[in-house]
Amino acid sequence: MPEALGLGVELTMFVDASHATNLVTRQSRTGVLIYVNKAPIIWISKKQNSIETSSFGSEFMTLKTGVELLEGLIYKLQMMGVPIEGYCHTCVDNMSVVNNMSVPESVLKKKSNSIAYHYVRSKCAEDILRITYENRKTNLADILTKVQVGSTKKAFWDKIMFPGD
Amino acid sequence: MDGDSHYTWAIGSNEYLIESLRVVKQKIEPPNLTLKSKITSALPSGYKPELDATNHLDDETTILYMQLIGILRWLVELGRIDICVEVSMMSSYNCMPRVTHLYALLHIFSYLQANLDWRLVMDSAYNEHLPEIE
Repeated sequence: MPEALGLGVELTMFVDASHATNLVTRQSRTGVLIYVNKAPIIWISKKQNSIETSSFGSEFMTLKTGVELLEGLIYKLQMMGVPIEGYCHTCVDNMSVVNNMSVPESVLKKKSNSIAYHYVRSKCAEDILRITYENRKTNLADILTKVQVGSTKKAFWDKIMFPGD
Repeated sequence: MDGDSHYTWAIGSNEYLIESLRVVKQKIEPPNLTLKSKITSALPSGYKPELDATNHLDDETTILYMQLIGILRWLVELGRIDICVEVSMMSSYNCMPRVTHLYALLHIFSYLQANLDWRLVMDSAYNEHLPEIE
């Protein structure tokens, strides 16, 4: 482990999936937003490769993508001598995902979901991250999965960006 | 910030955006296209690029489409998270874009023109919605 060169940082991650929003292929969309302290560092919006039958499944795939990105970010920060304080708060807006991630012996029928589950669960066990529930209305990753309109758009953007000087 | 007395660090891509708008306007002159004004959303409401059945663009305009996507992707990288989804959606059609896909891209540029100086808030009490870590 490289020697710490400064103060530690806190990580927060928001993940969200929009299930089957592509009307032709029925693929879902992944959205991940990672904060270092209070600054957004990684933002990603990407069409998923797999076609999931449930929003639970697509949410899991998103979580897997998010944790992969998070791991990369943690390595990068540590190599630069930035220590990480505690664990990463991971906000998911699907309650059954939160419940499943807190149960180590959870058995999932689908192999792809099961692999994603065990991958994320292993990171949870290392205490790299902990999954918490975040309401759909305040989950910031929502803006990276759906085209926002009107007042919902404004409510979200007010938290991330501001216009002018 | 309006009404608030505290300051915050923010990053913006204003200069690049102004320059790219100039280039885009130049590039769309021969196909006789223009950017609209007073646009509030990056894509027309309810627009679904996958349901598009218009003709494919010819080779020359396809190249233009790819160039525009390139500019937009860099803008997202520079901190315009507000068009992240839209750009990501439209870049799926990078190799065989259709006519209205190009219009959608111009719609995004029109939106950027109307919302030139949005900045990404980097660090401040402005982000108080983040959960506190003990």
